[in-house]
Amino acid sequence: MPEDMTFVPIPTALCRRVEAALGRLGQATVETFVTHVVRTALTAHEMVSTPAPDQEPRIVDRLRRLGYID
Amino acid sequence: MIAPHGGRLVNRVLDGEAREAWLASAAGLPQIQVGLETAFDLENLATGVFSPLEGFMTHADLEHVLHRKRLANDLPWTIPIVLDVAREDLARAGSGETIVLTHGGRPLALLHLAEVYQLDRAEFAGAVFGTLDERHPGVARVAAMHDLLVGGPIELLSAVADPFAAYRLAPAETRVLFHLKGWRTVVGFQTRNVPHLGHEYVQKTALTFVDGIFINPVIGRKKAGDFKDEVILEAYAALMRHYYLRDRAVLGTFRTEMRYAGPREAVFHAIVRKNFGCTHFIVGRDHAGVGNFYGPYDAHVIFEEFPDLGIVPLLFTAFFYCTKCGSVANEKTCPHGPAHHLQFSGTRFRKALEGGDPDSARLVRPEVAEVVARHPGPLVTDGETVGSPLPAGPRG
Repeated sequence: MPEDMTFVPIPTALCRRVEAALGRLGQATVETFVTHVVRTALTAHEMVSTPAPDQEPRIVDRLRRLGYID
Repeated sequence: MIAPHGGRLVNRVLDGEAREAWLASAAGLPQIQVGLETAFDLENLATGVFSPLEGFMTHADLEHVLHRKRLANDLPWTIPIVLDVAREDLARAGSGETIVLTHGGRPLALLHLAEVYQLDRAEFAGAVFGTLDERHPGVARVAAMHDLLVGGPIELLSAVADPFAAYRLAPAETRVLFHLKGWRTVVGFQTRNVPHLGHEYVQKTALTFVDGIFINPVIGRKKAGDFKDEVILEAYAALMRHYYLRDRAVLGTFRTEMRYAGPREAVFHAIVRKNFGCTHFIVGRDHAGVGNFYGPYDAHVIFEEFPDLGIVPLLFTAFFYCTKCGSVANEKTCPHGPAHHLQFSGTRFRKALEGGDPDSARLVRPEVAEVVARHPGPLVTDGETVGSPLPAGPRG
């Protein structure tokens, strides 16, 4: 196993299902498929952000001065 | 609002007493003079345009970017953000851990030095540009870099003067602006060109499905033959004044150099627009390409490698004006043959701008052609653009 990879057990039967479906999944190996799925799931759960409230008045003022807002 | 890349908008701008204290001690610290493009990188790092980066890449991050198109922490990232320094400069800088980066004799930023390592030009250029051919402007640029790279977090003391300051918005500002406009979905548009009707077609097609569009021209070093920064900005200002709803479109600059890294740069451009608050990003044919170094749709295919990019690429095929349809169209929307198609080639577009093409009105807006005509030399001739200030005016 490459140095920058790690071992995460998944059920053997699930692994077999993935192996059988690799062609349809468009993935070369179980590892690349699992990596793809985990990355997708992590992104979907990224925090939604809001502007820092302490900065906002200064920003609104500049946007107004530049003509971006009325 | 979409989260910045990595979940947090980086802010490395020093202000108040901390800034004054560092400025007072700057003269006693080791100093390294940097060029304008590095000055742009510093500003982008400090204001979160390059979030989650907080400074110039260390060797571990660079190796991951070159070979996996990801940072060492697994986040997608495709373009190295590095600082090369001359060996003698570093020797002069001594062994201090904090270095003052200057431009034109003025302190710009602090570099908290974490690592000094060797640049492998072939490894760098081969991975980023997919070629070692020095006719590629990116490869030529890497060939001219110094031998050593320095990595570590930075803190911005001052930004370099910007002739287009009225169009410069930091991600913290665009995020507030989009919020105030009530936009939940925003498409980003990268450009280094004066707009023709094909660009407008793509932008408005995308805009149909989102709340707003952020037109974000790259301002900085370009290759000879590209339009000058001031011409691009003025042309877009004219286009937006006459053909866009004020509440649906925003024009703002992105100060950086074009790398011409094709597919890798397309992903980089998408990440940057995510940091500005865009949820979608337009990728056209041969995005950020140069010559024939990349396939026309390489910049589409690469996005399949990034299910975790966090911004949706809108992939557009080539477009043309169809005389039979009477509109701009593409291969998916037009059933007519090539005899009916007017291509937006660079040569034809320039002829149209000069009014020397009988089909000018089908290719470019008259207001845009007028802007270009007003500039005696609208194209870059020496690889550098300096730019002149634009008249102020509403552009939100």
